[in-house]
Amino acid sequence: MDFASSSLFTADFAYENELDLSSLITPSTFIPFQEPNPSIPTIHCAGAENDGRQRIRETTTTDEITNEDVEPKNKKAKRREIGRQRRQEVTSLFKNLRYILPSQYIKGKRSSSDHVQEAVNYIKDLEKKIKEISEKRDRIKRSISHSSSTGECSIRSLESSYCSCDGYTHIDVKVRTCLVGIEIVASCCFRQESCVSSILQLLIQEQCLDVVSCISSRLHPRFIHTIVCERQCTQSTVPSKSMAEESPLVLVHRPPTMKYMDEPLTRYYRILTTHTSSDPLPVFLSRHASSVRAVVSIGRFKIDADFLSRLPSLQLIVCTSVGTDHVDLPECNRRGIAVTNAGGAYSEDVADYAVGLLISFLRRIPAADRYVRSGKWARCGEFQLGIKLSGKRIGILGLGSIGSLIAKRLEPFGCIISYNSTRQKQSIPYLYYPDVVSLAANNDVIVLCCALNDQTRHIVNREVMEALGKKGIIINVGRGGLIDEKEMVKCLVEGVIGGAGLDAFEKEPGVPVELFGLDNVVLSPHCAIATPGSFDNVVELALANLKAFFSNQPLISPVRLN
Amino acid sequence: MESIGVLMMCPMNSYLENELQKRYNLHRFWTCPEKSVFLETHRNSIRAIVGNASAGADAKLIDDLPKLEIISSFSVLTEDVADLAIGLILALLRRLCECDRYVRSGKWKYGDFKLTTKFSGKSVGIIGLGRIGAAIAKRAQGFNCPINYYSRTEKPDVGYKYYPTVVELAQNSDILVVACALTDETRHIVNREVMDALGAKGVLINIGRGPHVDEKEMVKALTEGRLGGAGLDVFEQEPHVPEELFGLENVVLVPHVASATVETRTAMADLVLGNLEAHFAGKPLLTQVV
Repeated sequence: MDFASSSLFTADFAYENELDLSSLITPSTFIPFQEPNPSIPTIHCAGAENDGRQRIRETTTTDEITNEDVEPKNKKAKRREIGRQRRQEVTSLFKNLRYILPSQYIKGKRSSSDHVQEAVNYIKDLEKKIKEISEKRDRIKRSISHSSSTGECSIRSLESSYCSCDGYTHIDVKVRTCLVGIEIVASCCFRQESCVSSILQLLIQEQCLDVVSCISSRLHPRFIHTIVCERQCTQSTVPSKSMAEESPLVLVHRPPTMKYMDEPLTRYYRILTTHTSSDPLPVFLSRHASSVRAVVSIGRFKIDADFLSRLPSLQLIVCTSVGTDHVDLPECNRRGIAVTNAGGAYSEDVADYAVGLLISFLRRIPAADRYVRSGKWARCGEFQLGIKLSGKRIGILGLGSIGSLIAKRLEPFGCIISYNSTRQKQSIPYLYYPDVVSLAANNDVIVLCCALNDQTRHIVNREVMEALGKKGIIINVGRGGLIDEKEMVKCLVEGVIGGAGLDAFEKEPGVPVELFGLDNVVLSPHCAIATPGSFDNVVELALANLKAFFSNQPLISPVRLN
Repeated sequence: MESIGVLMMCPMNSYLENELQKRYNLHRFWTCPEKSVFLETHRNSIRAIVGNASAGADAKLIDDLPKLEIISSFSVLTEDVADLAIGLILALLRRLCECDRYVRSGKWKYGDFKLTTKFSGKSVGIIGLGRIGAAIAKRAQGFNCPINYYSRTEKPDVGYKYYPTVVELAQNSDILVVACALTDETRHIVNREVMDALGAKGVLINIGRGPHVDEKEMVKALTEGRLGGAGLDVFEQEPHVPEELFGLENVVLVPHVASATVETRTAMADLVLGNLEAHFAGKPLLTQVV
């Protein structure tokens, strides 16, 4: 009989449940028991090997026989009747026994005594198996909860610590596996001052464990200390089934519609998404994400100090956007959390789009398209003239990867490029302006493609727009917050500036309604990056950053935090 | 002063025409029924010719006009046409007109706009590598686009890939741009076969002349999805545009605005007028070629 082949029998299952005989056996095909020959007296069925019980029966029968003399005929019939019944009972008992016993036990056996013997053998075999398997289970359990091979966990020695409060003595310690290694939950009386330090001292002695986090909460009148330890050595001393082989857990903080990272991430990581739980976000984080070391941030969901405080193990935030204004960067810096962004994954598409917005504005392409489709060309004649692009002076605010690609694209059009940026380099061939106002004053077009942060919020204000002038044009492929939107709307309506091509707004998807009726704007629903290629690029980059992080290599597209 | 005869070769710019009418004795060559008779009559009074790229003064004409002193060429700004070609490509591939409509209609509140097609890196095939074709190629290279071209003869040293037929050019390009002059040979140069070769993922940009493209076939190809999209500045029966195109979102339609910038219209016309004036006043010319 082979226990291991039965799917019902697992080590834990056997141990944690009552041993249930019926689930362990495989019923054999029923082989009919040979009915004893009715002519042979009952006595013959109970052979010499039988146990005492049969003998007692025999004795009873014998007794009944001696009483027969009184009423010979009736007694005989009665005796025969009883005998028949007994035979039937025994037969059915043995049928049941034969049915229960696995086939290898009953093969070749016919007599009842053989069956009983085999039944005894079967029970003995089962007992032996159970013992073997529970020993195996205990071994496995020990090896999982102890990362060293030194048998009993030395932490248990804390159990004998004395605490003078009544009813709440002892430190209760539970050790269990968790995602990065082990989690120790120690609960002790609030007067027990040395609980955490004792545990930590023991852990320091265990050289292959690193303490990742230690959180203490008070649950009157006890403290509960949760200590998470990371397995330090990759060469694990744990036999075979080791948790170190399990892939890391990554938290994905995204709106429900933006699913494009999920499948790529699950190829390498286990993911936890914040929007799938009905718990409020702080509760969800505290409950599920205490050991999360990396977060993937998609969309514009805020990652603020409160969010960060609930992820004590967090070391990396991977953003799928270029802009990181939704992340509290100073707080990340304080906590030693690295942040990566989309780097240059979108740069080409955004640069293309910026040039597209500019040409569409100058040559009035959307308005011209509307003009033709409405039939006005045939009815009303020539459309209004546009404005030439070549020779225009273009001022780029923020000469990062997007800004430089925009400059590269506009040069063949005969445009004159200048810029303002936090970095002025000698190697850049374009004219540098030290501030935004002078950039605006000396250019026909300003293109905004810099990061949004405290220094650049509303960097394009009334003063800048007045410097730009009534023929000046703003192209915004950065963030809406770069422009004082209320002022800009006024400037557009009043003709203080010539026009604008806008892909971003302060309160997307809300757009100031005054813009809808204007001819001197081209409006766009923040889709400068929105090509399939861009998303492929950012998936690749995010995975590369995560891979680098989990293998302690330098990050691919880190963001400066200060 | 006797009025100076100026011969204008073809209609090019109404502002220029009006100004020439005002200042000189303007003869409109394209309206003359009997050109040889006309030339006989006026050969001694015509002292200037105003032409352009498609209708210039050839050697015979120069011989026929013994009093000819100056030829002034009105050329559309090459840059403007090339700029518009790139503008049409971007507006078409990135759906800029749709985006603008999307925001203005208030639909953005209910959902993001869809994904569009990337331009950078797409292969651009140019029919005709003249001034305009070359200017388009130069601009497209800024977007890392590989450039292919077709012309009657291969041009050495340009660094772009040459294809001997338009069909082959269409097969090997994502974007096909018509930038050649209109002649008898180039009429319907973009026909059904070319459009099928360009295919459902290819787009056509026409900044040449309407008759360059078999318009009826193109409309069918677009509505049936056999052609990916089109950016059109010119049509066979301007200003009439086939109405089937009005409902398509994979076309951009503009009303012959390739040279319709303020700078082109007034500045170039003024240049022609300025040159003529300078010449007849004995002053140095504003621009001189020969």
